[in-house]
Amino acid sequence: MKKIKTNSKICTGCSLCTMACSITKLGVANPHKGAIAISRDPWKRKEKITVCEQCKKAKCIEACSEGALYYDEDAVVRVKQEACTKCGACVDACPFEAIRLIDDRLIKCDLCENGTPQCLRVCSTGAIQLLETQVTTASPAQRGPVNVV
Amino acid sequence: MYLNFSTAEIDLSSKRIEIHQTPEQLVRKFLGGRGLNMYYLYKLLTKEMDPLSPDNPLIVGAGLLTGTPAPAASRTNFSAKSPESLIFADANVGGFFGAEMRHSGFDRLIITGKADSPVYLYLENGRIEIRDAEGLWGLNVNETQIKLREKLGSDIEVACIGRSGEHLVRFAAVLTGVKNTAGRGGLGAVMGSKNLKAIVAHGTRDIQLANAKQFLETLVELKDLLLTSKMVQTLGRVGTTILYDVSNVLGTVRTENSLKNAFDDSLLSSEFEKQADKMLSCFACPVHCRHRNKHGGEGPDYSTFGTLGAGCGVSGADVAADINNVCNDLGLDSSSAGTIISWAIELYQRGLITREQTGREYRFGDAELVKSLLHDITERRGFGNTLAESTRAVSLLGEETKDYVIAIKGLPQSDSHDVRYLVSFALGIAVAGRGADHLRNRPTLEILGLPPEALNRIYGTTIHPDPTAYETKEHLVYYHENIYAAVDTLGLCKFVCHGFNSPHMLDYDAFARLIEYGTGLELSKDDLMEIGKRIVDLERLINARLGVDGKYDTLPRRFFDDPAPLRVAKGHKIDREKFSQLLQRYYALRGWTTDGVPTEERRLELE
Repeated sequence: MKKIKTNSKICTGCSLCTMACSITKLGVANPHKGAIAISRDPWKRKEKITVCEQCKKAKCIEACSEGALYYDEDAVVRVKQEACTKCGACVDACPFEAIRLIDDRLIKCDLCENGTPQCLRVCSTGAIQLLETQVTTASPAQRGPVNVV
Repeated sequence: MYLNFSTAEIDLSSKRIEIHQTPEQLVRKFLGGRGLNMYYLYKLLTKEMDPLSPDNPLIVGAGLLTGTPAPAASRTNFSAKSPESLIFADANVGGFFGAEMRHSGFDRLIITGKADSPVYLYLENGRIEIRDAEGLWGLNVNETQIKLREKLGSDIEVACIGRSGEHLVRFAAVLTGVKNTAGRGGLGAVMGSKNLKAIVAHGTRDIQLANAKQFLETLVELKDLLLTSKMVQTLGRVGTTILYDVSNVLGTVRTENSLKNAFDDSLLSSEFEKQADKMLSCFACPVHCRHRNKHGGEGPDYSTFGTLGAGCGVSGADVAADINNVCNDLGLDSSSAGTIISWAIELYQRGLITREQTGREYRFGDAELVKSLLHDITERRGFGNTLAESTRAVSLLGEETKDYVIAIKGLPQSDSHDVRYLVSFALGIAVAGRGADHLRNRPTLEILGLPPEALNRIYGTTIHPDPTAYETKEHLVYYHENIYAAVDTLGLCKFVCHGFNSPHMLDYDAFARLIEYGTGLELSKDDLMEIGKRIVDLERLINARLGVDGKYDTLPRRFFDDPAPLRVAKGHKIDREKFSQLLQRYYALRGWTTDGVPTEERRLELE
């Protein structure tokens, strides 16, 4: 399986990751529109990185009645945008707030298919890492085509 | 071309708000940030204008690239007529406010008038509201922002004033976040004079990039380049505190109001490292030079603990961090606060002010005195009311006191460099448009020990490598002024800019690529240099109109007359005659008259 592993303790809050993501997903620079999100509270003295955990039993997939969310062969949860009805059930179901409807598109981390996740490339502290293991828990039935988005 | 920038003109007296597109030819000529702010100040400022009157325009201008993921594209300029210096004020701030302002749909605010009662501005996705600031007036910087976040949500960004701004302290600042400060020139007092407590930005608007893919690739390349720089690595670990280490060895730390030029080891960067929980970034910045300190705040930077610590003879990184937190929360410019307090202590020691006036003994090394004076100044209580006037207090205390204030053009010196050993630095603070300030040019490459050929290559001419030599030093100030003016128009931080403490980092070519991929505007190195020169010239013309010309390009008396007493700099002072000749060479290089003003021909060209 593959997922983004984060360490909020060394996140400096710069939000370059979010913008690298918004550029990749939507073609625009916007720190509020990434699949990876940074929240900061300078007074509670906290930075927090939110990104899809690629759950083994993904509640977003369970919540989707249209089959718009599926596991690929690496157990990465992907979105089939054309099947999505924008009902928001997955958004409500995600316990991590890691899937969002933005500009009429369902945005979540899919590890930037076929390449290095862009968020990881712009992080200056290593707070964002790519975790890869050989274990795949998704059943073949849950998997979908790799290159469909 | 992606040059759709939006300017809002807000009259707080009539509550009228006009929003229009910033004319594209102006964007091409001045880009944004400091550049466009200066264009508007040139149009609007007059000699007669009282800086604390409703007429004074407070301009908040994001840089051309602010809010994009260009490296360190966080900066915004706050500009107006200064209540401290009475010339133009222009303060550049990082944090997250500028980016959020752009994502809320605005690139520049021009705020005039005065609200009947305290208000704040609310900016959201292309609309602006003037809202009642009830419950906020009377609060300091942290509480103001905490309350606004409780009320409006945690995804807002706020620029606000503390009680010092409300009380029109002439060096009150505008802050965003815990520490990021538009510090110089008293712009917090300008906000206070308008009954404007805060500006809140909240927005989800996109910034369209001309070539998003190339922009991202360039960001990755430049970020990787920056992270190979030793200076960036050090800033990311200990912030600007590293500058003290170097300066204290040389004997270039303003100590006890520059009676001395070196201080103790308690303020070394290694001591501040122990005070930090974590290093933080401003928006889009890979450098992350800001400490989250263990004392409940963020910082300090070198300028702050230099002026409020060494400048006042106060030891201890823990003490300095605590004083820094207090200063920021009250909303004071730490550079002016430290310089003015250290001046008052020397005046007391010299008997030029007395216990009858101050109500207590003033002495160097008294941390409690410094802290209580910050509060007294903020509340305009007791002698604090006099010190709140900054350099204007000379008229209350007597002309003789002027000899001891470390200020130029009415502005106390910003950072902690004692310039007696650093001739180019001395020229830099003397000619800086906003007054005694290092961030307009800061030529320090010559003290890094670079090979002479490296210096010559950077400056495009033969440079005398000795920092105490006068020959060729006009070229250093000229070069740095131009590139920093350019970087200030883009909204990038100087800590990623070529020449700022490092011969590496981002140069004009990198800027040009970011501008092209960001906006589609194709500019050459020469174009960008010319934009920098244009801004420096315009600032000179603003000051000339306000009655300040080359006569004011000078130094505090002490730096000419009293030799530095300590360390490498021992025995050095600035030679008046040689300095005067250096000034003339600098004017000639700029194409200015011998009075230090752009020619009539140049004025017409810029108008």
